[in-house]
Amino acid sequence: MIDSFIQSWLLPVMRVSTPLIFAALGGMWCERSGVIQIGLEGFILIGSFFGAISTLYFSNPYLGFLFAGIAGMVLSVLYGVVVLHYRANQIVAGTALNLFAMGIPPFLSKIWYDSTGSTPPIPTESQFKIAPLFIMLMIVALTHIVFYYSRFGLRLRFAGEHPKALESAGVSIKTKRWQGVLMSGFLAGLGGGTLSIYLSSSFIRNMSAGRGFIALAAVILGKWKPIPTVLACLLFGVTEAIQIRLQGVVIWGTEPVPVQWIQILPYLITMIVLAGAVGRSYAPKSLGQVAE
Amino acid sequence: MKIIEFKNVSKQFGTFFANQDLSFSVESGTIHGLIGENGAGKSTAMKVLFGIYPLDGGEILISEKPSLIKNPIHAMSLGIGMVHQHFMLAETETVLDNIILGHEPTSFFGIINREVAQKELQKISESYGLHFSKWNEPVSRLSVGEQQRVEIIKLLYQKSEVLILDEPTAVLIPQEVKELFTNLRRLKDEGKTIILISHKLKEVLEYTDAVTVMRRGKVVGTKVTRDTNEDELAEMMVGRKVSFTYQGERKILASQVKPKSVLQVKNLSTVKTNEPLKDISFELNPGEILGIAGVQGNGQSELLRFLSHPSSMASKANGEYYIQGRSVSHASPLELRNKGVGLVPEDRISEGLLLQQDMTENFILGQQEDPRYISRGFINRKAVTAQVQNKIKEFDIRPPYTTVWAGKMSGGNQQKLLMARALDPDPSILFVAHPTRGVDVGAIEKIHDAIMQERNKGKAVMLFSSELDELMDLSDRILVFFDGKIQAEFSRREFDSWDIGRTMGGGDKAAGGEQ
Repeated sequence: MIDSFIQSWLLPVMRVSTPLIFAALGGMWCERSGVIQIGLEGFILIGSFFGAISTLYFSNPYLGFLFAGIAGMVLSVLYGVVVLHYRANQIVAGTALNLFAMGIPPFLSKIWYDSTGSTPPIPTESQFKIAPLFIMLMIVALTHIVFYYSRFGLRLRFAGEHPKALESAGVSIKTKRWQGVLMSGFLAGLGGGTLSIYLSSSFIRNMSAGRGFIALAAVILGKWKPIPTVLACLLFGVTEAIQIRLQGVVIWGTEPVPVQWIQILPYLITMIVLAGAVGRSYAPKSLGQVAE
Repeated sequence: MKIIEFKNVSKQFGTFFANQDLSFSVESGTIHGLIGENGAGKSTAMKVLFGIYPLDGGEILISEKPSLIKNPIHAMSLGIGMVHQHFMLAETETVLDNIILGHEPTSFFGIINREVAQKELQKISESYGLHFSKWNEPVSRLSVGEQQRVEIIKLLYQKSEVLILDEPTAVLIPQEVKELFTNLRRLKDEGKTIILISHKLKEVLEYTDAVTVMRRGKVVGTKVTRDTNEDELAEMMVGRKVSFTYQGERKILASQVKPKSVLQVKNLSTVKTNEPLKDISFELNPGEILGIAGVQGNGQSELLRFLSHPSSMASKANGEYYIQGRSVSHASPLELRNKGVGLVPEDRISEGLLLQQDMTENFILGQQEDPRYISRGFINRKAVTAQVQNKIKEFDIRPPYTTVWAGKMSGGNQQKLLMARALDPDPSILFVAHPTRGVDVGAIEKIHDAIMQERNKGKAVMLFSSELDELMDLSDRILVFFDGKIQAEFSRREFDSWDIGRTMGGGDKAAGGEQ
C-alpha cells in the first residue's frame, strides 16, 4: 500500500517538482538579496538546452548537468551587469532576458543540428536514472542551513531586508546582490538541466513552458523562505502529476477530457492559489530597490 | 583629553557651504550636545566625522592625532559609532542577528556561533547596566525605546568609544527619554564619549556637559552647559530672540463655555482585531484645538485616514461619523471638503505635494472644482495665480514666486503652502497633522499662529502631533492614543508632560487629575 503510494504518487510528484525546486530556490536567493528575478524562465530554458547538448557531447549526464548550471549562470552575469551595474529596471530587464533566452536555442540548434529548436535524443546509456532527485534534496538541505545558520546567509538576507544596515556594518551590498543573482542563474540552470536530461531525453523548443514563473509563484507562496518555498513547489508538482495522470482518462461520458483542458490545470491552480490563499505577502523590504 | 577635535572643517555641496570653518572639540568621557536648527549643518558635520562625506577643508583630530576618515567602516575601526535617526535594524530579523551583522563570530565553514555571540552581548548588557535580554526576538516586537537600546548595544559590541546619537529623543515618550539618558550617563561613567545631536534645548541643558551651537553651517560657540541657559542658547541658535511658546492671545469663546459639537465619532473600530482603532468615540467643538497625542503607530494615522477619507476605510472600519449632525461615514474627500473640512496631511512629501510642480499647481490640488478658480469648465490660471500671490504674502512663503517647484522649497515653506491651501476654502473644521515636523523655528511660529487664529475665529481644529510640547502649547484638550484606544483625555489645566507621557506608554492617568 505504502509502496504503491510512493511508486505512483510521491516519486512522480518529486520528479516533476525537481526543476521547479531548483529554479525556485535560485529565485529565492536572488530575491532575498533584494533583486527581483523574473528571468528564471530564461535560465531554465538555457539550462535545458545546454544541458542536453553537453550531455550529448560528453556522453555524461553529470557533466551535462553541470554545464546546464553554468549556462544559466553565464546568462545571469548578463542580467547582473544590466541591473546591478547599469541599474536598469529589474522587471523590464528580466522580461528582455526571457525573450533573449527564447531565441538562443533555435538559433544554435539550426547551426549545429540543422533543426529548428530541438536537439537529437540523448542515448539511454547517458541518461539520468534518479541522481538529480538526490542532488535536489541535498541542495534543499544545504540552502536551509546556509540561509539560516551561516554568515553568508545572514548578510545576503540583510542585502534585501535592510541594505543600509549591511553597508554600515562594513559589507558591500552589491557583492551580496551579485552572489544572489549568480546563484539564481546557476540553480535555475540546473533546474533546466533536469528538464531535458532527467525528465525527458532531449531538448524541445520552449520546453520550460512557464516553469520559471511557476517557480517564482512558489517563492511568493513560500513567503521567500526555503522550506515553505520547496513545499509550494511540491504543491505545484502535485497539480502537474494530476495533469499527467488525467490525460486520456474518461471522467464522464464516453470521450476523454481534451488534453488541452487538463494541461491548463497547473497554471489555473497557480493563479487561484496565488490570488486566494496567500493573503499578505512577505517580500523583502528592499526588493527591487537600487543600491546607492 | 580631547577625543575629537574639528579644526577649520569645511564641507561644500556645489557652491553651498554645509559646513564652513568648523572648529570645536569634544572632551573624552563627556556628553557633548550639538545643537542648531534644521539645516544648520549638525548632521553634515557628524556625517563628515563618521566618514559618510569626505571633508573639503580643514582636519579632524581623533585622540589628538590627525585622522583622515575614509568611510564609516574606517570610522568604526577608530572607535566612532553612530545611532542614526532612522534605525539601521531589519524588523524581521532577530535582535542578535541585527547586532552581530558584519562582526559575526563563526565556528566552521562560516556557520555563525550564536551562543558565543549571545554570551558576549549579555556581558555587555550587564556591564553597562542596560537590562536587555530579548536577543532572540525579532526587532519588530520591540518598542522604539528598546530598538534604540539595541542600536546602542550594537555600537558597544563594535567597541565604539565615541557614540554619536542623531536626534535620539524625537521618537521617545518622556519616560523613555529619561531612561535613555540614565543609560547614557552610565556609559559616560564607564568612560565612553557621547555626542548628542538635538534641537531640543531642554534635554541638552539637562543632560550634557558641554554644548556646541551651530547656525547656517558655522559654529556659533561652545558653552559649558552649567554656565548657560535656554534663552542664551536659543538666541545663539536662531540669531535673534525667540519664544518657544505661543505668545499670541488665546481667546475664550462662547462655544467653549457652552459647547455644541460640530463633529462626532462614535464607536469607531477597525475590522481586523490585530489592527489599530478600538472603540473610538469623541466630539470636536468649534473654537477648540483638540490635540491627538501618542507614540507613532498607536492608531493616530488610521484615525486621520478615517476622518479625512472615510470611503477608503469603508471595508476596514466600523463606526459612525457625523459632521454638523449629518452622517459622513462613507463620504469621499470631496464631499468632506464641501462640508467644510480642511486637511493638512501627515506627510507633506508623499501626501501633500507634487514636488516637481510649481506652487500654483500644488495650490489648486483638490480645489479644481472650486467656482472661484473655474471659468467655462477650464481652470482660470489668472485667478489661481492671483490667489497664490496673496497667500505668499499672507503666510510669508519663500521664495515668493508662484513658479517655484514645491520640491525646491524648504520644509517650513512647504508646510506654509499646505496650510495656505487647506485654509483657502475657509473650512469650519481643520485637521492638521505634524505641521512642524522638520521645520525651522521661524516657520514654526508662523504655522502655530495660523492654527491659533483659526481657533480664535471659532473653527474646530484637530491637531495630530508627535511633539508633546507643541500639543501642550496649543491644544485646549488632548486625547492620548495607545494601542488603538483613547487611553486618556486631558483638559488644558491638567496638562503635565510626565502625566501625559505615562499614558502614552500605556499607563493610566494619575488619580485626582479628574475634577
